[in-house]
Amino acid sequence: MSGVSSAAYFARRAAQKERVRILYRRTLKDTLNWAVHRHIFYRDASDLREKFNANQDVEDVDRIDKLIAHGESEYDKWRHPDPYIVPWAPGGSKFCRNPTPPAGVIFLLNTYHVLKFLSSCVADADRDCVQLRSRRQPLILTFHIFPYPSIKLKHPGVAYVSEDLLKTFKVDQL
Amino acid sequence: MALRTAVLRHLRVPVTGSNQSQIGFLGPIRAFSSHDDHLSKQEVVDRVLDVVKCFPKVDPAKVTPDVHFQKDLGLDSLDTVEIVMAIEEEFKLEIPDKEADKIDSCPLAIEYVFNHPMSS
Repeated sequence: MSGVSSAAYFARRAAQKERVRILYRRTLKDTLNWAVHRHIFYRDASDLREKFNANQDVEDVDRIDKLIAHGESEYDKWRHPDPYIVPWAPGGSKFCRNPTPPAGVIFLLNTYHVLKFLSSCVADADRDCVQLRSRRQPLILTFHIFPYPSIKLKHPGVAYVSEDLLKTFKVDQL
Repeated sequence: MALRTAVLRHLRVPVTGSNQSQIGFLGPIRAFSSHDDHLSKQEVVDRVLDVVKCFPKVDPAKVTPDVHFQKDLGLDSLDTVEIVMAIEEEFKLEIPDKEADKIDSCPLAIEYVFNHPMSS
C-alpha cells in the first residue's frame, strides 16, 4: 500500500521536475528573445534563476503544482511574438528553402553546356550535326530515355539528366 | 509518320560511355552547396568541452568528454538546462524540449550534436 503510494509520489515528483526543467528552458529562451543584448540577458537570466531557486525546497506536492501552473501562466503572458528560431528549423527564415538537390542529377545550365554534354556523348560522325544546328537556330532537344517517357526541355538549353540513365541515352532533334 | 521515324532513326546516335567524365560532374560532392559539410568528432568534442568549461559554476579541471553534469560536476538540473541551451547556441541547433531534457552528460551531448545533420 505504502509502496504503491510512494511510487506514485515519486512518479508525480519526477513529472513535476520535468515540467520545471522545460518551463525554465522556455522562459530562459524567451528572456533571450526579449533581451537581445547579452549584458541585459545575463542580468534577466540571473533574476529568473533566483525566482526558480527561491522555491526549490518546497516539499508539498500540491503547492509545487500550483507554483508550476503559476509559472507557466506567467510564461504564456510574457511570450515573445517573434522569437528567434534557428534558420533551418520550422519557423526560421531558411526553412524549406534550397532543399538538398537530388543525388545523381546533373544540371546543365545553358545551351553551351548542353551541347558540350551531348557532343561528349555522341559518336564522332554525328558531332558536327549537333553543333551546326545550334549555330543556325535555337535548338529544342528531346531526350528519349527509355523506358522513361521523353523529357522535353522547358527552356532551351536546360536539361536534367540522371547519371545512371546515361547508358540508355538517345538524342533526337525536332 | 514512318518517314519521321526513319529519319529519326537515322539521326539517333549511340552513347559512348568513356566520354561521360568530360563534363566534370563531381558525383556526390556539389560545388557551392551547404548540405555536405559536417563537423568532425574531435571538433565537436573540443567545442562542447569549451562550452562546459566556460560555465561559471564548473571547475574546468574536472571536465572530460565522459563527465556527467549532475553526478561528476555537482550541477543542478537547472544548470544542466543552461548548459544544453549554451550548446544549442554554440552549434546553431534547435533541440526539441523533450530531447533537450534527456541530455544529461557530456557523452550524450557530444553524440547528439555529432549525429545532428544541421550542426555547424
